[in-house]
Amino acid sequence: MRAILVDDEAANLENLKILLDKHCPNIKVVASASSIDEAFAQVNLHHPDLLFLDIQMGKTTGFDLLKQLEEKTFEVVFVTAYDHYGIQAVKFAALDYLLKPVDPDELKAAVEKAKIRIKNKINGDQLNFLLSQIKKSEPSSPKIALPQQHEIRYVSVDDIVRCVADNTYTFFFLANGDKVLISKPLKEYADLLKPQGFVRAHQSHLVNPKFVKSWLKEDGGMLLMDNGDKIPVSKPNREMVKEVLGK
Amino acid sequence: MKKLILSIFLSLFVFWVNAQKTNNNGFVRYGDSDFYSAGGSEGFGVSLTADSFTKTLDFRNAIQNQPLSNLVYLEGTKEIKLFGYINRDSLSFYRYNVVENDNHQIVSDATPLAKNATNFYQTGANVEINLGKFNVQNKKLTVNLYKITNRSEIATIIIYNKKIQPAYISFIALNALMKGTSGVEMKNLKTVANFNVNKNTLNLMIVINSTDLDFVYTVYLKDKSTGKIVFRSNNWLYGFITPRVPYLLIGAEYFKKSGDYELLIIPKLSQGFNSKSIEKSATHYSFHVNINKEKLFSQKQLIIYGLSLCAICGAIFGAAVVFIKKKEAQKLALKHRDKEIAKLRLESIRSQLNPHFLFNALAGIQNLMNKNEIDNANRYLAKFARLTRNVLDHTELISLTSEKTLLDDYLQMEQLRFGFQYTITASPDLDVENIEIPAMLLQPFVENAVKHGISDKGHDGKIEIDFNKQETDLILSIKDNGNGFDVEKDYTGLGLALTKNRISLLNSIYKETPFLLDMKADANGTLIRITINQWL
Repeated sequence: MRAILVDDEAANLENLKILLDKHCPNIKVVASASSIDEAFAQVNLHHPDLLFLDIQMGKTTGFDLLKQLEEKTFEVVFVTAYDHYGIQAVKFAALDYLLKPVDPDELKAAVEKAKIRIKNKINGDQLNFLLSQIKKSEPSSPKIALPQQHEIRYVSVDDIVRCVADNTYTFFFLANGDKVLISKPLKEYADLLKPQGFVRAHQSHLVNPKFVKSWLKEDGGMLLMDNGDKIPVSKPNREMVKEVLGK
Repeated sequence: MKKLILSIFLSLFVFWVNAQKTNNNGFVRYGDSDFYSAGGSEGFGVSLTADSFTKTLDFRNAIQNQPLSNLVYLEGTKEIKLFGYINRDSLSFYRYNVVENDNHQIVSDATPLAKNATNFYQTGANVEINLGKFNVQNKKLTVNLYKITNRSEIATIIIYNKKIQPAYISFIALNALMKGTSGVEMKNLKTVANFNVNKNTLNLMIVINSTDLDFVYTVYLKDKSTGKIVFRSNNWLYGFITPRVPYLLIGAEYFKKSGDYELLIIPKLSQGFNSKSIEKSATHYSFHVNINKEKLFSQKQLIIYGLSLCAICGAIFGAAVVFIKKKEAQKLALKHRDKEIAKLRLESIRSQLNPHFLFNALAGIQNLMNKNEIDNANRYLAKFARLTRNVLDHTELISLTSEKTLLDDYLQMEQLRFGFQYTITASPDLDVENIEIPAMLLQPFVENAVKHGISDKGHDGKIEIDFNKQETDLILSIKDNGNGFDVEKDYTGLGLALTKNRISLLNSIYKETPFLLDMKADANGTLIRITINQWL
């Protein structure tokens, strides 16, 4: 696989190249760029399979580069030091990212995942989705990408009724009655959806308050959903759940 | 043939009674004949004898509300014989009629004749006159007697030999005074057996179909809640609807209690001299009474007052709700603020913990670099970054899996320096991926185990970390085989003060699931156990 590295700090570019050479022999770094303009030129020149893209680069971001590139025929692995907003957006799009300093084991895992995705050619959509979400300055009802084995579903957060943990998997229950299984732990989605108002009622249940009908006192506390489902509320969460629902 | 005879004069009757023997059936005997007093007036008494087909004979039943009227009730009789008792000198003053079934006059204004005198039973001035034999099979016979000098005073004897039918209630009404008038409002209850009673209620009126013998129908009122008869009467009145239709009134005082009542109308001869109930063919009527307190206001007034009361109540309620909500909001805000403060203090304690391991960890990585262990330096640097990020991210809760990763990161870094062994185990029935605990809960204890427990033991040092559950409690334990410490003393240097402080802050946030810290230390090592009650 041919890769281009984009980062505004030379040391990081060099470091990543060393790690890739050492741990990922099937990756050939064809170019590295320290600015968006340079990266734009290199991508158009080399048409790489894979882009390692820093998010925050001075006043510009890696997202700006993606906006300029019309045809996205490559996979992207974002690389960032500490950027809450950027990572949130990437997570909503279910794209992959690495944190600096890069852990060699995580790097290997990211490359393996990218290899599969290149084979399935499912990247371009997700990148466009990411950009469309970023464009909205204040997304009133953001969408989230739910990657399934053969397709990616883009679901409005308002259409998610609740999520249920099944070990390292998460079941999504959607407003239209669909049930979607995603191979990521609930914790990950709890972190993403809590800022959207979702409530972690139970270690295995994340609930959208919009679909809660009432609070039942039975069994120490249950949420009755609009469709009649009953969701247990565990003791440590009871007060918090009541507080959120009371608003 | 058994001879049944009757007597007439009450005064004479008393006399007879003295001279009579009473047989086992209660029949009154006179000589060798059974005779029965049927009724009559003071000067003209009538007795009867009945044949042996007679199954029931109940005589001298005074008819309610009809003076000088008596009933003889017969069952099974085919023929009777009537005798009159009259002063021999005034025979010509008396007349009698016999009417069959109210429509056929058998004897019309006949004068008792001395030639019919039986001569058997003459007492004083009275003679016994045979009035004749009568076929009474399934018939009603009415004998009217009067004196020509007083035609308005008619004595009546009814001889009844028919089946008595159950009463048929034709009409039941509740009578109440109409508000503001002397009129009476009558409410038909035949179909609606549920009514309100208030102070204007006068009585319950029961109207039955006219019968031959209205007075035998006795009305009982039963209070169903107690099962007691609260009213009993056969005082039928006439003239309200038509002169012949009987009605009976039950005063409101008999049903002044809310509840269920039952009306029974039972044909019964209760006044006769041989009183035997007639067949038990009761008529039932049940009803329900609601007691309404006196209406102080008219409906219109009531609506107006009601509405204004509603408005006032609404206003007060609204104000109260607003007030309570405000209070509640204040309370909530206060509670919220308390929690926020607790959280902030928790944060600050957490960052106070950082330097302990941050700089030691950096020193460990520096050591790797100096030893030219590049790969390890890379790995440990990544671990260090993860730990630091966890502190900076201000995550409140992390999953047990994440906690294990962080402890792994930390312990592996410390292993570089001290070379001890460690294990992190979790009970298989714990959903480690989804159960969360407050971030950095165990870190300080693990740090203590390393630095003060087993740092000088080299490869012999051992740390065991275990996540376990006991019913709904989550138990986290850290065990080392170091030298232990005095748990009673406050080891400020060990960061224990901070940790205890942290636990009490957590308890102020998670009030319903208290955190318990249990420390045991001796020469063989230290065991720290944190129990989070009802966490699962």
